Amino acid sequence: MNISLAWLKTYVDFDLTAAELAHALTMAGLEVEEIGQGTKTTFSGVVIGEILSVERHPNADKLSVCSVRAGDDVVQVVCGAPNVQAGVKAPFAPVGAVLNGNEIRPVTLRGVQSQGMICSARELGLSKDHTGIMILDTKTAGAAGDPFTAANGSDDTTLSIDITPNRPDCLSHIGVAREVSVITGNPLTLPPSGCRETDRSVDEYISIGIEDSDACPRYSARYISGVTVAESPEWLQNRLSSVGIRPINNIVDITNFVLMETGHPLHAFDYREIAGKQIIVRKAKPGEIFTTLDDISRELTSDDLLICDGERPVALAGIMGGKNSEIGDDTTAVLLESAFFDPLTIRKTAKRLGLSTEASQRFERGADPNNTVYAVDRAARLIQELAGGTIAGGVADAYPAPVQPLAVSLRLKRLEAITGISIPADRVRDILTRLQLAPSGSDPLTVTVPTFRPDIKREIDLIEEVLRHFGYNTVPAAETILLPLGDTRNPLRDYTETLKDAAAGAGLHEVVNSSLVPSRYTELYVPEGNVPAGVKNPLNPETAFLRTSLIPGLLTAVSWNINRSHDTCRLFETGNVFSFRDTVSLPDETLTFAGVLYGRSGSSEFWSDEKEQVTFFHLKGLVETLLSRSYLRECRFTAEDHPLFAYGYTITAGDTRLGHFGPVAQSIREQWDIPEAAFCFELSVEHMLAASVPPVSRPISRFPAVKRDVAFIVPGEIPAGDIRACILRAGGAFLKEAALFDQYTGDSIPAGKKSLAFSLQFISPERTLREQDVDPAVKQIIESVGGTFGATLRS
Amino acid sequence: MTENSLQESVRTIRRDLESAIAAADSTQEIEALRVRFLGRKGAVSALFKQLGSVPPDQRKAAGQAINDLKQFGEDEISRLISRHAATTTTEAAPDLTLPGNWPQAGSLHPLTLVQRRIKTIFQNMGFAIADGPEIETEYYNFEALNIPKGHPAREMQDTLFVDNGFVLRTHTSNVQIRVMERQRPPVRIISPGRCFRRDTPDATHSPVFHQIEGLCVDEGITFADLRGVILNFARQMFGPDMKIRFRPSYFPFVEPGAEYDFTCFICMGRGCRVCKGSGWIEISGAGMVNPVVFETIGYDSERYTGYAFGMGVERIAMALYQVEDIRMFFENDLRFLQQF
Ligand SMILES: [Zn+2]
Repeated sequence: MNISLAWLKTYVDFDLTAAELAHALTMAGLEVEEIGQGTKTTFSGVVIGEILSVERHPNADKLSVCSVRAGDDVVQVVCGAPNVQAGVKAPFAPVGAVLNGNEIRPVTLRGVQSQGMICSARELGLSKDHTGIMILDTKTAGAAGDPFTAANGSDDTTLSIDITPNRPDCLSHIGVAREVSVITGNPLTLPPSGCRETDRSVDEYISIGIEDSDACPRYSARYISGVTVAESPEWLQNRLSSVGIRPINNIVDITNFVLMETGHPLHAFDYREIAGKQIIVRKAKPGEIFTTLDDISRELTSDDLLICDGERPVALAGIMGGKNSEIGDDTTAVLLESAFFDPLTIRKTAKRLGLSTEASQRFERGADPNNTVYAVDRAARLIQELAGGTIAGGVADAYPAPVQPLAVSLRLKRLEAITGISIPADRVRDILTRLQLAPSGSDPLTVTVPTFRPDIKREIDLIEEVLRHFGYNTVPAAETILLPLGDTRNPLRDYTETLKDAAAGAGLHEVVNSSLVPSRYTELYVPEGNVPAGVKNPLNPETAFLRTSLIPGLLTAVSWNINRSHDTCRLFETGNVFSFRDTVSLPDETLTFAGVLYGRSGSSEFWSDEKEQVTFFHLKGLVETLLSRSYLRECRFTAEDHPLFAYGYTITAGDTRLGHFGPVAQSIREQWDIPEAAFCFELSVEHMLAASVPPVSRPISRFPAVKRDVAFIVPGEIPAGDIRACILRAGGAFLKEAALFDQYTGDSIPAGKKSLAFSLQFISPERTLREQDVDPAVKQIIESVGGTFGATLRS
Repeated sequence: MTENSLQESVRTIRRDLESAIAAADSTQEIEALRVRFLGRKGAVSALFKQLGSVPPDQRKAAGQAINDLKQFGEDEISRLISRHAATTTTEAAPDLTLPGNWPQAGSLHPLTLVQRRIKTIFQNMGFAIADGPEIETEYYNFEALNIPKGHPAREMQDTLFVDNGFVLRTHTSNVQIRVMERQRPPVRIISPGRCFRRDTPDATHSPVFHQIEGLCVDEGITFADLRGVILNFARQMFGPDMKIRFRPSYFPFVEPGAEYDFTCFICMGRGCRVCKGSGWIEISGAGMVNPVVFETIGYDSERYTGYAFGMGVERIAMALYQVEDIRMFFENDLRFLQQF
């Protein structure tokens, strides 16, 4: 909402600067977003000039020769304005300034040098006033030489206010003036609405029938004949321009002026076009076509409300008038509509048609049903004043069920219970009274809420009104010590943070991807039996689904970084993935932990290292590290195909599936233009948490371990894990670990075989082991592995 | 042997020792010298062995002389060793300008870092952390929060709708309703999480963003308590000089409703580019829980009062780390991530 300060001042006085007023309004809940000039300036380089002396031009009666001070310079200027006089300040365009695209140059006028121009308001494009130079208020204008802005000269500063949707009353100058009157304590003066009527009653010209009084609770109208349609006077045009409305003609301009003044939308019909002297308010027929003022034919539904005459629709109620009945240059009789429509009805239609107008915005939020007559009277009075004509007697007013103001009570104790402070009763009453929320009684106060405040229905609404103007920032900040309530633990959150720390500690960078993805991502993977969750109104196809896996997002991040010259990416993410199990329940939201390895292993930048690419075993090692750092020590990896992986492994702990890992399938890598192998894991955080065993310390043996290395030559197809398991089974009570430290095939090994070397570690919690304790165990291992796998000892 | 002749031997050995010390200039020579004079079979030991043949009445003085010699030798040799160590390097120093080598560390996302700080502060104020679904019913996202169908406030938040009649939550306030449904007052929670709006991405808007909302319900909770918690948060987060400012605003689920600002933590209120000269940084909305919400939940709105507040994680992170474009948080550029 644009508010012109000059206009505002006609309803309430204030001596705040624009910035002070903007601050005060903002702190009262009317957020001023911008302080601007009412009109766009068409000049630059103009400064404030002080006219030091004025003398007659030696060679021309109508010209004067002035000396003008602008900053440190004093220049001689020839001026033709009758009102130029010494001692005043005026906008001054020195040489080099630009007016309407023309640069000011030194000129000689009838033999006298002139170094610039003292400007009229019209020359500055600020108004049409060309009677003389624009004389500025010496007190407020600023110093000579200061830049001149439109705000300096006219009082035409505007405030752009972001009105919250609960305050339709503030979508008007009077509404904002009411707030200013509370802020300043100055009275609010409403503009006059009385008009001279003829004896002939309006009923002779129009009758009103409301078919749907839920959608249209009130319809008021006046009839004015003998008007002359013309351009509006300059003051009216300026008022409208200052708030960004284009002047059209006097009749339309007046309806717009009253709209911006009172907040009540009006519409003027050319009475010639109203058939049958009647207005019918009805719902549209499905498929009915109506052409609005903007010349667009619109197909309507039975939800839309139409204003019709005896034969046809003439306006789309509350939104826009019809092409067929608009005011033309030759209009002489006007039917002025001032109605009240149901907010929801207007909202639905405006939204469906994508047609938001000054009128619809106000009806949607809630106009005042009891303000129709004031608004139509005010407009009729102005029409009579500016366009002539005679006003028929009375207002045609259909108002089957008048809306009564609400009575809401306010307990001062409750006010204190909510705000935490005690506000004096007098101050409470004063604030309410200035807001025109008439309070009566003492405690509780009974407050009569006028219908222009549809947002105030309950005591809490009044409490907000009082606190809003008493000042939110007058309430002290309580210093209360708060103890936790009950069990405040959140194991899933804590565990997720543990995972993040483990991943960052393992060298991964945390990323955050959008949850919204294209269908080609969700097509790659959906949990069995589920379907992806689609967005009904996506911004674009790239954000039309909810992600079903974190891996596509991670690959996107890898791809992004490859394109920015990174050859190594180690990334992880935690976040929800979504899919529907059925069509009635909320979708499954699975908190997921995933990561990717790409590029080099180790310190990829180090100068003396061999550059080694990451392999599947880096991924496996990473997964094992992360599992062990998150209290999952007993996990199994089982080969299982997965659509994202070239070959995949499922991770389980006990009976719980935790997730999967593997090298990303080449076809998928290619979709992301990832040239080298990429390795991913993806785990369910909830399942991990459920299977995790928080650490409990176990005693450490005080006695030294005995180490033995053994190398077996085994058939190539036997998995190392099977050999290790066999060693552990056969190794006896003292064997603690059998760690593979070498796998070798080559010269000294027969074809089809491989050598696997294990480091065995024996330890006892009770004593230092001797050779003779270990030797039989090693012998047993060699026999067992030999017997089971046909393995021989490598010498 | 007489004391005199022993004393003479002491003097001779001392002279030998002094000249040997003066001549020694390698670690090996120093060690050899130490063995020759102070070793188990060295010259000083030999003198002590001769002490037995000195008449008893002269032994004390002779013993003293040998001890003095021993002390002198030990002091001189240890001085020689440290002098020698200081002037010689045993190993050539590496080229220190070569890069160091250590496994590359990972990093946490700035949004994680900021969320952790915020959560810790509220946990210290006795708030528990509550979670709820990101895909939600319209009831929990709107109706229960006093935003019925057709309410203008639904347009303040452009909603993304999901199949089967659900919505992507536009705030984490849904968690407040779910917690109040299963728990009687007192309630004191924060709900951090991901939210969604149908916003075209630009420097300050992202369709996916993160919020932390707080809720406190009990008997006797007032607007002053809300201001206390917000002020304490501001000071714990940004320092003891923080001030707060509340401006009336409108959110259907709180009344009185406010937007709150913090002293700009870049310029400390003097006015700068980040705060556009105002000295304040807009944080988010807050207010007293609207009694309508309590009535929907089934709380006694006369007996209980409460406050709620929100804050945008990205907005705080942007101000804190001076990130100019919200999209940086979701691009996952390593050059950005490695800075945190
Ligand atoms: Zn600042």
